Amino acid sequence: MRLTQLACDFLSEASASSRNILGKYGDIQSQFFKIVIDDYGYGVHSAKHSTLYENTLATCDLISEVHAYWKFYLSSSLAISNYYHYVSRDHSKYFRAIGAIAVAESMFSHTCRKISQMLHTVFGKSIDTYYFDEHVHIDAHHGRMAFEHVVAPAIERYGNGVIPDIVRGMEELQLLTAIADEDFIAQVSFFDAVADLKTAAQRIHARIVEGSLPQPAITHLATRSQPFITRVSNQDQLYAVQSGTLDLVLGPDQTVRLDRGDVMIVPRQRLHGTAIVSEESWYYVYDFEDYRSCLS
Amino acid sequence: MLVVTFDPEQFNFITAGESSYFLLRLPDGSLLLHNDTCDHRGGPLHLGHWDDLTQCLVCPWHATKYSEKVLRNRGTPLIERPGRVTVVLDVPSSTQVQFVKKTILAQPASC
Repeated sequence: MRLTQLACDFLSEASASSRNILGKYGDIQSQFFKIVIDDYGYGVHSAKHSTLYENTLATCDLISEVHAYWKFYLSSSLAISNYYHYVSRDHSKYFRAIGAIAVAESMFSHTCRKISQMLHTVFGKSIDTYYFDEHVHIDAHHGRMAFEHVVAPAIERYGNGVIPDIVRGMEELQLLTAIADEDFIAQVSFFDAVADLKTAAQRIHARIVEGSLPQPAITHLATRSQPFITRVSNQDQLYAVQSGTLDLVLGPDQTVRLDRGDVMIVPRQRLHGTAIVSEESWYYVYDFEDYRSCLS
Repeated sequence: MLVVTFDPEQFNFITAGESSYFLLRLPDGSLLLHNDTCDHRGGPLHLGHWDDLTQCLVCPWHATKYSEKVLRNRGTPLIERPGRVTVVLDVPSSTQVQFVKKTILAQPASC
């Protein structure tokens, strides 16, 4: 799940940054270009960072096509990638872009060391972690290059008036990263909480059936041939299967099979989808502000 | 091995097959021919700069530094005579060689 979230950005690595190297904008632009040179592997395809990430995915038996896992991108993962494009496509936001990139380049070396260690712990020696190992090394340079040769010269050239935008970019990127980290942890915790969520759903559903918890439901009738999509809701939801069989899909390799009579809670903001296993399935979805308040 | 002779006033950059070399005159006046490719990530060393403080050549890409001592040790064998230099390149003798005049940004300003 972690690798699929990172694929959102890494398989198209530096595409947003590249928006900042077009045109004729002096020495700062050329210094910025040096960072992109590394990301693009000096014109050697096998050294291109997106290629390195493809190799990592391949050794985990994951698909390395760009956005193959788009249905499983958490919105917070997409937000980071979108943010880079947002501040890079419009050059009036240039100073936010270089602030964000300077922070990202500085943080990423340490992050990659931890991810590489984690992947070896989980997958053993078979996984190709060179993408991350490469960034442990090269982003130590990039962090310095971004601050010393892009950010500092930008302030020197354009004055202290650009500092608020640079700092804003730094803060925005850190905020988005913190949100994405929390979101990812919550999604993984969701995987681990399936048994508890089923138990809670049984208690709440029993109250609905006996009439002590009046609750309207949305009825869904779906067939196996319908395209699979994922969604998130701003409310807690209780799925109650009335006929047939479906899989609640929580991630690329995380499914929970629900047969007739089975129920389960999906907490708010948790990404999930329904894949119909039988020819068709009829199920109810109940919305709750907070399912925990309905347990007693 | 390939031995070539050329006029250093006319040419200061050599391509020999996949390899490139540039002439650099050090602060003490001695001349050396050095591979243009940085060991770190292949940056073009002739586009680096000379750091007067540390007396080092600095790669333009990631600021990898090459001291005078390192440059001398890694320079190709070279003999300088008035108006010509003779160098020994570690490439097959059949290698195609081109001589070019370039701006060597890495050249110490004092030379």
